[in-house]
Amino acid sequence: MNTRSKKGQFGVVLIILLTIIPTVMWFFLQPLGSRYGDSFTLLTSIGQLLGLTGMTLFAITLILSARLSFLEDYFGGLDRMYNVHHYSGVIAFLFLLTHPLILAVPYMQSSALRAAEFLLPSANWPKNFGIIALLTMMTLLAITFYSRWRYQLLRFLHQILGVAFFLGALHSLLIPSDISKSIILKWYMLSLFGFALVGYLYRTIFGKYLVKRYNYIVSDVRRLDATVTEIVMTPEGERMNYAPGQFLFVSFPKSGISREIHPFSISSAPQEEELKITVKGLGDYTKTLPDIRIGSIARVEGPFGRFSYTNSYTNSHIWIAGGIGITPFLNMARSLRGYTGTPYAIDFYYSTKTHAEMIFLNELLDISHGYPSLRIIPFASDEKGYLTMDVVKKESGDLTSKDIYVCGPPPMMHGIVVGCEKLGIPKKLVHCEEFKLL
Amino acid sequence: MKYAFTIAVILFWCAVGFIMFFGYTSQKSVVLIPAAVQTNTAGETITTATVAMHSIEKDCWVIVNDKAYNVTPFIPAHPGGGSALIAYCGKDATVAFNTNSSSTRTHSSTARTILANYLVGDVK
Repeated sequence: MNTRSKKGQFGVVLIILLTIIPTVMWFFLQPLGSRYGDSFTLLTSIGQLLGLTGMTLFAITLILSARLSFLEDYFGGLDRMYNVHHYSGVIAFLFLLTHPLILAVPYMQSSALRAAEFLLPSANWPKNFGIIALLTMMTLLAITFYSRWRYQLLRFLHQILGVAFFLGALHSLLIPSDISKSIILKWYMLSLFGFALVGYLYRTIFGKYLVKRYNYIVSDVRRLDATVTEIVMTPEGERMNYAPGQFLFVSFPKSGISREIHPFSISSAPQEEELKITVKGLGDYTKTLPDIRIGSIARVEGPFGRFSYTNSYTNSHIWIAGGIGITPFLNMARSLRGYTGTPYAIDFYYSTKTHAEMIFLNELLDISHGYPSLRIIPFASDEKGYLTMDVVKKESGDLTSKDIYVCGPPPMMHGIVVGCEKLGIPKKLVHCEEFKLL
Repeated sequence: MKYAFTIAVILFWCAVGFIMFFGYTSQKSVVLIPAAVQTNTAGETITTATVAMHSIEKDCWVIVNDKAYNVTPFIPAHPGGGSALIAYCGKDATVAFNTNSSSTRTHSSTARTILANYLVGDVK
């Protein structure tokens, strides 16, 4: 039943292996004595190893950013794959940041000026490529973490990290080092760099031509309340098939709003002909969605994600939706209308700040009438306080053998996950929709 | 991750600032020469065969412009990587030194000053 967790750890294991392999090769290239004979060689060895490992992880980070759907199963969904991408990217950066500093230390033993000169650009272009790559990486990551610029601009700047990678790869291959000396290590790194560059070209440079996208027509734009909008799309040609709970990337070119690409949960059920997304106007872009012209083209890529009741260990579920985090659950609940397999026993906590915000409550109650094992539990936090796992346990009984699905604001998700740990619920049973693009 | 990034970048620039400050306030490049290298073999005849006997990383002599240099202690500090220098252990490195393979330009005057510190003697 579950693919999210069965294969979900394999991707991380593979990354660790791919990172360890060049390190092992490096160890066997020269006798260990020559690597660690004295403090000079020891520090130089550590510096080189940090550079090698950093570039390996940087290449892997770029491959993960290519949004290759066949890799999703090995990470437990695109959301988790992007999380691994974020972590491997930062670890790669830390290694690469330390690389020149450690290499500079041996120079300090002869003279501080020589160490200073080592860190500055010179006529040695392979070294300069490395300096430019590191400074570019540092600047772009700082912008990503700290600026409040528009999402599309941040996304573009983040993509330029591919150029930093290219310069870093040139540095690794051209500078006299173990990579240039060992044919096996050179080909291993060349292959990894090649895959990374192909992934980058596929997604970032030629994505417009190479990535498969479906054409839909915007057939309706409905304001469900003051901030929530539902966009209804009908297929122009081929229809995108998806599982309950999945999400898509969509752009609306020539629709009266920005042509940016954004991820959204699919709120329609798989059996529906129309494709729907339900969005709360929280940011610069999402606030403009009600202005989309009906009849505009929607370019859809997907589906992505493994957050679905079809990927569960048990047939007893707890669904916890916070605010607009209801959208993947809307898809899942609506799909139960046509579901004929083994019934799921579901306690669905629909949590919002006030009762008035529960704009889908009537529809969910209607679904539960036709699917009696779905129990809807409305939870308004202004009346009952924040929803916690203790409250859920009190209402739903023992939770240690139930799949827990949660989607909502990050603090709420964090609180639920911590609550699950405290109650001794196995990690594999806790499913979070944790999508974060940048 | 944001905090790890921030702390790492701050520490990085502190370290770079420290190295730059001490590097450029020390005015000139003072190369510490190990005692073994300071012992000049003046008086002995150094031939290419003598130099060729010092052809390993742990005992590395090179010839530049008809002079022999014991560059063993400098190998880890070589800016182009130790391996670039090791390739010339026991050999005549005049062409490589005067063309600096990675840039097709000669080594800097600083490099020549450093090299002079490792002089063993003239090659006959």
